[in-house]
Amino acid sequence: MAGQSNVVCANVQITGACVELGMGNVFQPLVRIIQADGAGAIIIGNNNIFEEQVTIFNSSANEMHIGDNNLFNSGCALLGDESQVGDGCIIGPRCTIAARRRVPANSIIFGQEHTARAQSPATPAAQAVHIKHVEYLREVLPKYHTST
Amino acid sequence: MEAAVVRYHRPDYIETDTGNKVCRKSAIFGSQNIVLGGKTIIQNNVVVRGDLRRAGAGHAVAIAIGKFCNLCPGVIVRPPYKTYKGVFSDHVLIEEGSIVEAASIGSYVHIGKDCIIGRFVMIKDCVRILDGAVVPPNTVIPPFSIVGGNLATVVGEWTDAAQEVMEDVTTRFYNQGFVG
Repeated sequence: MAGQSNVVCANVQITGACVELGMGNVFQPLVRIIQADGAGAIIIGNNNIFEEQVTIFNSSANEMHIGDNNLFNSGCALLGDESQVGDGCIIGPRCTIAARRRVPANSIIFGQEHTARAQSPATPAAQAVHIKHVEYLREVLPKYHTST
Repeated sequence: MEAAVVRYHRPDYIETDTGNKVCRKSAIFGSQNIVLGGKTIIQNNVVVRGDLRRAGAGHAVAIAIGKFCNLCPGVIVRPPYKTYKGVFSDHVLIEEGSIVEAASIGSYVHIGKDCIIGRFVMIKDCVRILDGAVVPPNTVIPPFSIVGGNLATVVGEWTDAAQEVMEDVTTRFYNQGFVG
């Protein structure tokens, strides 16, 4: 998987001087990744899927870290100030991760209260499904979107 | 249920031969994989993901929408993952801010505001989904039920006249309620 490029659809907004992307991330349309002026870097790992209208916003001086193999469902938001996401997490649709919240690895965020629940660490099979989905998106999305 | 009259800016909308009204400010991707049944309204800031279709050769429909459907502003419609298409029948009303990843939605369905319909959900005919409901993935919702809550459960039985009500609401909205 190493060395795979990121897929960024045309109407994805990535602003800020220091947004570091890993490898093989998929940014579906209307994703916004915003590093406010003078805020810390946003560091994103590998093979994450960002579905449409996901907002990642960092306004604090601290760095924001996002791990590997995460799935951000439609419309969810990750708001700055020391919030972090580990590896293998699933953030439910329209869920918000508030400031100063650290989401440990293999969590699922769901529901009205944005509750976190741990899932068992990804088995190789589950991981393979995620990777396969990333590969599918990486193959299909550029056909419909002028990627950058 | 009486929908207010919505005035729209006519240049913003494209009207097709079959009477679909599609807003230019909506985000429709992979339009070759989307079928609209006619007299369907897609309002501003709606996202329809036709690009998530099964890989491989041949024509495949990712999202099929029937006639007299109304997608209100901010709705996101996407097929459940990639292997299955999302099918909507006729007279479906989806209100503001809902996210729909259903495998199939029957006719005369009313989905309220800010609902989340999970992946592979099957909604049968004449179903009312209350505002803010979160329907978990793989749920099958029986006909004539009222569904609400987070996580959503069946909370009541909808009126026997649901078919007439939805037919009336959607056709009236198309003919008189949505004017430019």
